[in-house]
Amino acid sequence: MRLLLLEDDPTLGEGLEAFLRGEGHVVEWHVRLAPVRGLRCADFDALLVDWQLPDGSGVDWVRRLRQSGVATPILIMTARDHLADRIHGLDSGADDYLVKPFAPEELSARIRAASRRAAGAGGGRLRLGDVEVDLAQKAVYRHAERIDLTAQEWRLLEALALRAGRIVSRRDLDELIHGGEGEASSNVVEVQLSCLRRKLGHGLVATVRGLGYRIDP
Amino acid sequence: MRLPSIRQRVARALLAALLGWGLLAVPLVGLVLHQAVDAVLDSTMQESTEILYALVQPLAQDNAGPLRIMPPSPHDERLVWQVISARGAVQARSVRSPAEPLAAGAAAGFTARTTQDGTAWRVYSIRVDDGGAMLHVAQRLADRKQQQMQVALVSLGTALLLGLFTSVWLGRRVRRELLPLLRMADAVQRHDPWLGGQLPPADRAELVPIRDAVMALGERLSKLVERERAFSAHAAHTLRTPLAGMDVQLAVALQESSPQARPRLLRTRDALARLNLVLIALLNLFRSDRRPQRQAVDVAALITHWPLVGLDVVVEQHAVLQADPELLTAALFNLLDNAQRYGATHATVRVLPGTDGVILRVQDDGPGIEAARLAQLQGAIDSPQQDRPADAALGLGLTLAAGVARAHQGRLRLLPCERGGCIEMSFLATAPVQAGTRRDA
Repeated sequence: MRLLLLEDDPTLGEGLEAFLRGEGHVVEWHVRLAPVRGLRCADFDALLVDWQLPDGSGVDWVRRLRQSGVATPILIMTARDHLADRIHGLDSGADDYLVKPFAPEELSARIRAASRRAAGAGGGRLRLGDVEVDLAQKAVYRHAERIDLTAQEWRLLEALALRAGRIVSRRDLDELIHGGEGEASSNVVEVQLSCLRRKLGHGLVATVRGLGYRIDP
Repeated sequence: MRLPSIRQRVARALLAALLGWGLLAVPLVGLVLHQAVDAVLDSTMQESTEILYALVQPLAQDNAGPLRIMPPSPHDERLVWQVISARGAVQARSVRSPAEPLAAGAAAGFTARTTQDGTAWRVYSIRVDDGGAMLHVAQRLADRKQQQMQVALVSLGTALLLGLFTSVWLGRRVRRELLPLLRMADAVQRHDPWLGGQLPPADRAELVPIRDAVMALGERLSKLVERERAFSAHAAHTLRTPLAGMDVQLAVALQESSPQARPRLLRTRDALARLNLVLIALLNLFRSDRRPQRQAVDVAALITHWPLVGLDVVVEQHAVLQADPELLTAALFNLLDNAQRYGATHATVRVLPGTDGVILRVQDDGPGIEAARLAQLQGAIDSPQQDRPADAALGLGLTLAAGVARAHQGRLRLLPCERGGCIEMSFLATAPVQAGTRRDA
């Protein structure tokens, strides 16, 4: 998943970036709001926002995002644990609220849950034609029969399934498959797509010429 | 201890004043009444004599005739009369008059006389003619005293009734005057200075300084709490974020570590998890605006991920407890952590029904606590912080557990145990749900 991380504490920010990368996510970490304001938040699968940032309130920024129509899942991470703060944070438009200190594993699980909900698979399973994707178990079924996928195939399927109905560029897929690290080989996406189509059916992933790929829900 | 009541004290003072006034007034009023009644009776005798004067004159002129005694009258005769001739003999008299003359000589006016039968009389005499005949009208002193006594009793009864009525009225009046004080107490009870509210204006001059003092106290407390909140928020932010950073750094280090380094990193992360639990508990417990946020807490589920390496914890009754999960975590974790540090390898957690709620009992196979030390610690738990003897200082675990029990209107008890240690925490008004589970740490 492509994640935007807004955290001003260097130890926590750097640690989360490394941990989430280790989990296979693409993480863009910022310590201030200013550089983030120019980004297209819809390009991210989830936003992880600290409440208090050096140049403004993360919660106010979240509210403005929601007012402008951004529907990307947002998680607030904060040291504020008062009930009123939790309510305020969630009412601002955040999907989840995590009080520090938290285990990064829990954050990761919450990101997955929020993304599943956003993709319309709150229960963890997403049906795409005759293919059923269990995002929680990282399993895929075709005609109720379990299909084994490699790690890269799963990442590719997950990236497309979570964006079902939207076009995902080859560059983005490349980045998502490799977790934003290392040099991606120029034809890895095509190779993995070919494998996926062979295992799950040729009609699952459509190619949109010149733009990228899409799975229809 | 029952405190004295202002209303009762004022009512008692008023009653005492009334009684004192009564004791002082009764002899004086009695004396005045005695004189007044005496004067009225004398006046009555005088007027009766003057009326009789015209009637008895013919009798006085017939001084040679026999003694004439008036026939008995149908009414109770209170005054008696005699006509005495110039020679001093009784010429005529009323039927109840004594046979002997009521007065000697020819002196007019009031005199007193005791007749031979021992009856004392008050006598009023006037001359009937120039020859020396006298008309005596008399009344028994006993009758006069009886009449005086009747007047005195009626007056006393009236005074008592008036006093009783006044006492009741004053009591009600005092109670009514104290009502504004009760209203103010009620307003103070509902007053929350943290919400910036104002007490209603005082409706009695005497209550104005009390209201002002309460408002000033509220403002001082409010500022104090405000400072504490600011500190708490600052401390929370200052402590929580680095802890989260440390944990995530350790998680990354674990991902990247060699198999040899993993146990060391895991132990460090466990220690950090302990620190997190203690820190959150401390922040919650000592924050003045924090009230227990009770919810159903599954004790077995709560302890599942606790870093209690080497301690086998069994939850005998898989209970759902109505408690604040963070506070309960702090208390229970610290108790189990204590047990582990003192050498226990096995602990049992039970939820039992209590008198007013439920009891959470933690029993371990550690060395336990000596009876004398146990009594000393229990005394320290039950006494306020400032009253605790210096040598009865509680450790963090017991302090936290006692604080959490108190926050749930309960109590922490250290129980004597044949083997190991046994601690009970009571939680007011909660209900356990029965089941069974086991967790090996």
